[in-house]
Formats: sequence, structure tokens, C-alpha cells
Amino acid sequence: MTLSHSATSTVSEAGPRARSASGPAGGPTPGRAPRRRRSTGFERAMRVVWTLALLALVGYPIAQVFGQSIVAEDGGITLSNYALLGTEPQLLAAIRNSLWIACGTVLGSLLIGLPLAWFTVRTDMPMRRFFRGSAVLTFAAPSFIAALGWVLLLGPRNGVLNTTLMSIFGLEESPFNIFTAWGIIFVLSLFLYPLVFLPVSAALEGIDPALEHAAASLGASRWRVLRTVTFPVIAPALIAGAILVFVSSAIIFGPVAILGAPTGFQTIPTVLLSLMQFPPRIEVAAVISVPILVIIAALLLIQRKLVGGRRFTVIGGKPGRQDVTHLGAGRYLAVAFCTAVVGLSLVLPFGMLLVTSFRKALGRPLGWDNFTLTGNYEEVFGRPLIAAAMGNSFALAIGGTLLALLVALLASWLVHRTKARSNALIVGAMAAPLAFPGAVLGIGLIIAYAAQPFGLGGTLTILLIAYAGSALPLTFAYVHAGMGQIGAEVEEASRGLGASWARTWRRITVPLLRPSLLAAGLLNFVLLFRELEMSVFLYTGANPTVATVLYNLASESLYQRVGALSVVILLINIVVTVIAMRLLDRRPGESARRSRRSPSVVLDTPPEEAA
Amino acid sequence: MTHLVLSRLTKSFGAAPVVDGVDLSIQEGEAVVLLGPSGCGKTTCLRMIAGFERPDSGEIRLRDQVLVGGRTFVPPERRRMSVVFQSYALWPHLSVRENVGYGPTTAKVGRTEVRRRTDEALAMVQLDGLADRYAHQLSGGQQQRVALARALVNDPALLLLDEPLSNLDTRLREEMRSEIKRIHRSLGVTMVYVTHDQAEALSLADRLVVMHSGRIVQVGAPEDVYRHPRTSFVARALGATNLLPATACGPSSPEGVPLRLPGGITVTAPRPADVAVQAGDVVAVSIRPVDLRLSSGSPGAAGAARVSEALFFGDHVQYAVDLPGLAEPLKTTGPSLGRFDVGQDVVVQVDGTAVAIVSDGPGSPVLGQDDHHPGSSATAGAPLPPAPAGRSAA
Repeated sequence: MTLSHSATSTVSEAGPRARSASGPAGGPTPGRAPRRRRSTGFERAMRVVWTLALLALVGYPIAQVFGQSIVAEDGGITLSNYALLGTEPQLLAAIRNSLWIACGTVLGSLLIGLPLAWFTVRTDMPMRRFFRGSAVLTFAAPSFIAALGWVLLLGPRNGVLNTTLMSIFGLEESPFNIFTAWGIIFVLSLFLYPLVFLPVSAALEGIDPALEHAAASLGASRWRVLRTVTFPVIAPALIAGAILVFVSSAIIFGPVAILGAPTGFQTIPTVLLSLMQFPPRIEVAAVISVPILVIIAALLLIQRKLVGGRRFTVIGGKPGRQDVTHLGAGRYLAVAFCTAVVGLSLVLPFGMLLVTSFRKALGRPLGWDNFTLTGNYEEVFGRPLIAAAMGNSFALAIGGTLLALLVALLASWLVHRTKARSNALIVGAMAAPLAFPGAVLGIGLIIAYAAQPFGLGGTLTILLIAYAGSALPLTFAYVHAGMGQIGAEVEEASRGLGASWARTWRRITVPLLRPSLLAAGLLNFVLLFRELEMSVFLYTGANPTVATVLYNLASESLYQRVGALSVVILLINIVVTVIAMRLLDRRPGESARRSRRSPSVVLDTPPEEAA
Repeated sequence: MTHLVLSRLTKSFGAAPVVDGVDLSIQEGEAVVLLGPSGCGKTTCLRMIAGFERPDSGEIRLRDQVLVGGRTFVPPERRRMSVVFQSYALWPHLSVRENVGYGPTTAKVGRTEVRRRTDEALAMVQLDGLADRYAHQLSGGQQQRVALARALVNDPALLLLDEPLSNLDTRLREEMRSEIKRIHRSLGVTMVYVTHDQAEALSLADRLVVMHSGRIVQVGAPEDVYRHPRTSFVARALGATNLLPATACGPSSPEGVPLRLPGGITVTAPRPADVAVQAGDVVAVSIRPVDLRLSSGSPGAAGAARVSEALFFGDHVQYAVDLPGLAEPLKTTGPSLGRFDVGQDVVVQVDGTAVAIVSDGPGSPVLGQDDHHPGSSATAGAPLPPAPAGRSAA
């Protein structure tokens, strides 16, 4: 969850930004601010409601993590818990593994993302739009489901690719083993490369062509232009993307849990999960969470600075027609490369799951005698547990989305329509969950709400809180940007004609915000419906969700059912995404033009300015 | 000495021709300004000279070297032409010194030489003190100076400027205009300057090239083009003007063509270069507002008119006056002392040398409002302006 959020904001940061005229920065000091429209009391009440909501969803759980890390066994306050970091070999190994996975994935993502960006933006390679769209699709695809597909393809014993290669080349042993650190890096790179690809291709597109022309006219060869002008200018986008890949891969749970489990390979999130299992060692989990929160927050701040940094902003240039490099025969090589990326990241793993969902038995070879059209699906839908999980996931995704939308609307109303010095804090606070790995937020929620007086452990309510809290940054980014584009004047015009505040909201503000609300809502639904990172921590046996069911099916190696359930989840994802594109494409004006330009409507609405 | 020659240059994007047969030759040390509205092909011409666009056909020669023609295409980095861009195109990741030093560094001239040339170029644009700043720490005018220094540092064979002042405010623009003029005079560099601003064009050009729809419509010294526009398009491109119908009321003589203007004003206008005017022909003329004089008078006299609008600008007053027989009011200006009021009766006078007969082809919207149509007269047979203009330049 958290990963996708941070990703989205980078993606769109490269796109057009909303600049709010009525942002907090330019406002006068609160004491002298002219009070318009609303009474002070109403504003204060709203501010209190927002503060309480944010504290309940995110603030209190995270504070509990910090608190728990300094509570001694006798209830006093101590820093001695942190000594555990040095003495627990399991923790050190997990941290080392996380770093290793993160570094490898950054390298892998750069190797995939950079050439892809250059090919699709600056060359005459055929099918550029298609490959671009595929990259965006990859970004929305669930990586832990893809990891399941790769288990079926490159598992050391029965992996289909492995057995095929063995029979072709007459090998004694299977050539690949996905259950290794390399396997994890391979799968993560294929799924996180869009975090590099999207900002870099946006940067390549946004460079003022005159920057390169100026160098050429001063005698610089094409290679020198690339090295001394193009590359340094896109470097901030590249580094920002690499930071996101680093953070995401260091804390991602799903693929690592699936691919690391057979060999006991653990990274930070999986070790956190094992610490929470019986007998739970919550204080150890808290101790390892705190430094991770700090490091991630620092990295994300650097990333924001890079993206918004003035020194690297291109000044006064109007985006023009970019020079296109003619690849000649190299075009086919480029197409082959891009096809391989799409094949490996989308077609093979998800295709394999689809095929598997029609197999009777995993051990027997593919063939008509091993084919069942509906058997696995009947199995999946026949189980009451899975039906319940479907219902839960639907309800939670919708509920979490709506709750997040409400809080985001309130926050952006406060930022845009009231004047207070603390408004800048709201923007920062709404983005803060980006820095919380799902595992840490999950642990915080358990500490905060699982036990008495709340007693919410394992309930749908605690999942709802988790979903809504983690959806805040993305939701706020969209709503805040949408609100920034609606001047306060359109509301004032309505009020001036005698409409009440409520009527103005109903007739003017919300309709104008509709594209932002819709985009945020649908994207959140897609991401929350298959949420695993937090659910797996909060799951106690009651109230399953589709992701936890899938995860458990995989742990039990029931791969035909894994295939069938995966296909169902993917179908729901695709249907919602298609609906989103349809709905968003139909809206008039500026936003529609923007959405046509990009293959991904939902990823293209501008986020908030960094606080 | 002829320096740069463009011959029969064409370029289209998709189906639409953007540059449509341009012929032009430029002398060494000359400052040539391409003037025209957006979309007239002037920037595309410049980009083809620089090598950023490949012409569809035609030839570009620099001295005795063919840059483009037939199968030849010399890439931009080997043309020794520097470009100053509208967006300045300063590299944001390099300091002022590194920006300016990029050319010499690329040419591998050695560190001390790079430094010497950079300092020299920065001194020329009076930016000596700011060498270690970055572009975003500079004002618009300073950025423009850096771009200029960067373009001059390599001692280019040709300096190309693409609307370099259009991002500056009025005051800075005037300052940079004289700066560019000064640098051109002191270095003697050959310069092609693209703009849509008539003040820049008139003040900077040694020779002015007016373009329209991908063709050159008139070439000449700025004063000459200003005083004697051949078409209404050129007349309007160089500033506010009144376009009116006039009737030749006698045969052309070496002194000029006697004309009767609306309101009964008679003048002797200079003979146009490429149109033969017979007695009785209806022609279109262009008269600049400043060349029309108002004096108090009574209705009935030749040129009697009535003030319909008077806008006070401090140092001058802008008038619109209704002249009988004209659908549109005449634009004119007068001193702010002794100004006329709206509704006042005045007499309009004009000197014959300020009246330019323009040849506009049939269908021209200029005189569409009345039945005086220049197309119906001898001017219909006049050749299209671009061809002779281009040839005479070459």
C-alpha cells in the first residue's frame, strides 16, 4: 500500500502541478486574517475534527510504536530496548538482507527503466505508446500475485520454464531457482522499474529541446550532449525514482514473504511478522521499526527536495518537439528488449496463473487430460471462507476509500479555504503515512487498538482504520490538487448569489472536484482490495480478506486455487480500472485532455506541492 | 562578400508548407532580421540554418561550403553557428562560467584559453561578477546576457537569435536591444535575428526581411520597408497604419502619382516600385497615424472630419476621426498640448511622401468594406510580391 502511494506522487510530480493561489504560504498571519465565509467557531470545530481523525487513523498508532520501543519490562522508560538491535542476530540479518535486496532492485530497475524510458520517449522505436502503457499497467499490477506466478514458472522443482529448459537442453538440474535473493531482486525489479521509468520519461519529455540544441550548436557531438546536458538534467528525476525503489523494495512484504519463505530468507517486514507471531515480542518489533521510520522519512524528504529543487528546474523553457533518435536496424533490438520486459513483468507470470487455474493437478504435465475449465473456480467460490473474504475485501476497500476521501476533503478545505499558520502542517501530516511501511503501521495499530480498552484485535474495524490511514496520502494528493484548481472565487460567486454554504458545496465544489474524487477513489479501491502488507499483520483467523486468503493458499502450496483466486482478483482490478478510464475520459475540459495524453488516467492527476 | 545563401528552401510539417521557397543571401557582417507573425516560417528558417531541421528541398551554403543540399547534411555541431534561444536554454546544472565555457571546453582549447575566452565573453556582456552563480539565481536580463556570452564565446561564423527578447519586460527589452546592437557593431559578427516585434526589427536590422505564410514578402533597408511597404501586410507588420482606397486622378510622372483620397484630399504619392498605376485606377494606400496632421477647420473643406475618440497618453493624444466616405475612422496622433475634443470639427492633412501605394491581390480583406476593390484595376495583373523581392536580394 504505502509503496504504491509514494510511487504515485512521484509519477505525477513530473506532470503539471497545481499551484494554489490561496495556499497557506502566502496567507497573512492568522490573527489579522480577514475572516470570510465561515465563522471562526465552525473553522475551529472542523480543525478539531480533522486532527482527531488523523490521530485516530495514523498518529496514535505510530506514537504507540515509538512509545513501545522505550517501555521497559517493569513499565518504566528506558532506551535499553535498543540494545536488542545489536544482540539479535536475526534482526541484523534481516536488515542486511533488506539492504541487499534494495540495492539489487535499484540496480535492476535502472537497467530496465532507463533504456525503456529513452526508447519510448526519444527514439523512433515502433509501438512506443503500447510499451509506455504496459509500464503503467505493471505499476498497478499486484507484485505479490506476480511472485506467485514466478513460483510456478521458475520454482526449482516444478517450475514450468525450468522443466522446459531442462528438457530442451537435457540438463540434470533446473537452471533457475526463484527462491533466492536473486529471484526476489529479479521479481521486484520487474515490478518497481516504473518508479524509475515514469519520472525519467517525464523528465526526458519535459526537457526544453533548446538545451540540447544549444550544446550541439556549440560543437558538442551527440554523445557529448547526452553526457553533459541530457543526463545531468534528468539526474534528479532518476535519483528520486531510485530512492523510491530503494525504500519500496526494502520494506515490501508480499513477494519477499512468498519467495523467501522456503529458504528462511528474511527481510525487515518478514522478520517483523515473525516477531508478532506467538509468542509476540512487540517491544523488539517496535525497536526495529523506529530507526526504519526515521531513515525512510529522511530518504523521502530528500526525494521531495530533488523533485522540487529549483537548481535543476528548467527555466522558462516551453516544451517543444523533442529530437528523435533514429535507431535504424537497432529498432528491432529495442522492440525485443521492451517486449521482453512486458513479457517478463506481465504476460508470463499472470499468464501462468491463468493457465494454472485450469489445471487439475500441478505435478502432472500440461495437457487436455489435466484440464478443468471450472473445477478450480468452483473450489474457490465454493468455500465459505473465500466468499467471506470477498465480501470483506469489497466492504473494506469501499469503506477505507470513503473514509480517506472524507478526511482528505476536510483537510484540503482547511488548507485552501481557511487561513492559519498551521495549514502547512496539514499538508505534511497528510503525506506522512508515505513514510510508514505497511508492517509498521500494522504493528502500531495492534499496539494501539488490539487490546483493551478498544479490543479491536482481528476485527473489520481495525482493518478499516488501517486501510483508511494508509490511503490518506494518495487521496489527499488528488483532492488537494483538484481543490487548488478551483478558485475560491467560484464558491464566493455562489455564496454571493444567496446560496448557503452547504448548497454551494453540493452544487459547486463537489461537482467540480468530481474528477479528482473519482480518480482517487477508484485507484484506492484497486489498491486496497488486494491489500496484503497490513492485512497479514492484522489477520488473526477471523475476518479474512482476499489477499490473506491468497497468501495462505500459497503457503499451503494449493497453487491451482491460487491461480483461480488470482485471476478473479486481477479481473476485478481490471474492470475497475477500465471503468475509471471510461468515467474520467468522458469529463470535459482540461482534465480530459490530460487523461487522453497519458495511458493512465488515474496516475496522472497532479499531487500536492511538497509542504 | 556573400556569406550565407539560402536558395529555394522549403519545409513542411505534415501537409502544410511552413517554409515555401525562400531565397535569401546574407553579406558578411550583416545583421538580417526576419520579421513576421507566428507561424510565418521565420523560426523554421532559422532552425534550418542552424541544422536543427532538415529542409525538404533547397540549398544552404556558408561561404563556399554546402551545408544542406542534395545528399549533403552538415550536422549542427559542425556548422560553427551559435544560437540564442527564446528560452535562453541555459543549462540549469552548470554555473554561469561553465555555461559560457562549454563551447571552448568542447573544442578542447586548453584550460587557460577556456578561462580567457570565458572571461572575455562575460566582460563583453558585463557579467564579470556573476560567473559562479547558477541560472536560477539570475534575473531574466542577466540570463539573456549569459546566453549571449555563451553564443559569442566560440567566435561563431553566424550568430542566430530566435526571439531572444520576447521573455523580457519592456524596459529590459529596450536595454538588451541596444546591447545587442552594440555587440554586433563591435564584433562585426554576421547575425540572423528572428522576431515578431517591429521595434526590434526596425532598430536592429541592416536589412529587414518580412515573411508571410512561409514566403518572403519584402526585403530592404528598414527605413525603406517602413516608408514604402509593398503590400498592406507589410505595412501592418511594421506598425499601426491606416489603409484606405484612393483613386489615381492623373497619369504617373517621375514626381509620383497624383491621388485623390477619401474626403477630397489630394496628394502626390511616390511611384510604387512594381505596380503601374493608370489614371482612374483605384488603389490601396497606407498612411501611418503619425503622418496625418489635424488642424481646426470647418466642415466642407477638403479633408474635413470629426473627432470621434480622443485618448490621452500623457506625451501624446490618440485620435480616431470620422472622414466622410470612409467606413472606418482614421487613426492619428497629435501633441497633448492643444488637443482636440470628441465631436470637434477638424481638417486632416497629409504629406504626399507619407502615402504608400500598396499592391494587394484580389480577395484581400483590406478594403473589403466598400466597393473600391484594387483587384479590379490594373494591380490585378501585378506579380506576386515574394518572387521579385527574393531575387533582388539574391
